[in-house]
Amino acid sequence: MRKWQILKSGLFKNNPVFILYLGLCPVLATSTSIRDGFGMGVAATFVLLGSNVIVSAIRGVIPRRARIPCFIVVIATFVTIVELFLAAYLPKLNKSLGLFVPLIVVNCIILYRAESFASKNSVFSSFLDALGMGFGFTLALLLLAFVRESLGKGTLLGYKLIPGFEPAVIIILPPGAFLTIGLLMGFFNWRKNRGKTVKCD
Amino acid sequence: MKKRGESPYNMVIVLALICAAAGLALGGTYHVTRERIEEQQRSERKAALRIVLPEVSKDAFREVSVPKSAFAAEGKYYEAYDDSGRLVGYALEAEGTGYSSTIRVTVGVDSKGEVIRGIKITFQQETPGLGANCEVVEVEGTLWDVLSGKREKTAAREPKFQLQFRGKNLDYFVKVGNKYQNIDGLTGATITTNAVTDAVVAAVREFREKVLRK
Repeated sequence: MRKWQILKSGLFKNNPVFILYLGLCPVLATSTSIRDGFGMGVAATFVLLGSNVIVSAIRGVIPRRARIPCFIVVIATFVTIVELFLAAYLPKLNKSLGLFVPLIVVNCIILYRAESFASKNSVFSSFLDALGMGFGFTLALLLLAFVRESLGKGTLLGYKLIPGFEPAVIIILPPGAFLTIGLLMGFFNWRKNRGKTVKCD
Repeated sequence: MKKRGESPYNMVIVLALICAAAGLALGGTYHVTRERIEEQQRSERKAALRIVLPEVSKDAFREVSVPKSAFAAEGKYYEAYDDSGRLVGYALEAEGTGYSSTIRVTVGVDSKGEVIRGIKITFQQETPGLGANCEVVEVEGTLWDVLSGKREKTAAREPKFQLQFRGKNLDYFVKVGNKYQNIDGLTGATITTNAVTDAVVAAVREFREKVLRK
């Protein structure tokens, strides 16, 4: 039962984007279309899985004071692997994600999970945690991309939704990203806190 | 007593071992993907050449190395031949500075260097929704048509913005102020529109002067 909780917490209760406010830069930048958003989510999930499992497996030998460089080397290795495979098998996606693939290295979610979870828990738990967090990140990207692509371009997966619909370009532009993520964050926090009594002074 | 694993030597050794393992993993991945990546780049270039010069027979392109210039952004352009071995045109590689990226564009011209046969933007990272529309292919029909099977998914056509260069000669590109009169600009992306058009015009003009001596 507890293992299931680990997996689930990343999706809603501790959603990295909407609740922990981590990794916002790639979320805002690559959520202009569902295809890009999904690609980014899967790439980050793969890196998260790899780094969490490896960090957890070698957690016994990592010296405490040198842990951050160790984590970064592990993370960067997986990012480069993803980058090479994207270039080899999905060149189109690689082109549209551009700089944001190498930037997964500095995605706070991945370092944060390595530091606060994988370096203290078993390999299997870390695997589940990475899966949950990765899905949470992908879910956030998909939600944002769904809103932004449908309202900002009037399309889904590149296909028109309603003939004659004039899209609101602002939703696709950076201001639209902030508007959308703000509203979604509001919703997720309302969902998390509803039913609780809040004390006001 | 110091705890085990906290001495500076230990730190160096562990970090070095992790780096060595990372190096091995990367070397292996690079080895596995290298050929495939090169293949992708080759086929991408070939696809671009075939779009800008559609009548050319397969693989009938000859690379010509020249110093870098407006028509050879990477130090080369291509001569294209038809099935009987007759020179039918050239493919030039131009480059322009857009709003947020360097835009690379391949331009096909006929053998006299007069008519533009087609252009293909091969690299850009402009603003999605504005400048990036230069590469967007408009799809007919809606998502519901595709889902309900009313319309088959068709092979991608070319972006509208790039199609308007096809069959034009240099006189067509008249700039008034900072706008090309005959070019349908991208909404909200004058800089991208001008960067592409400027690059195409400069490439063809310089190619005519320097290579064809016109």
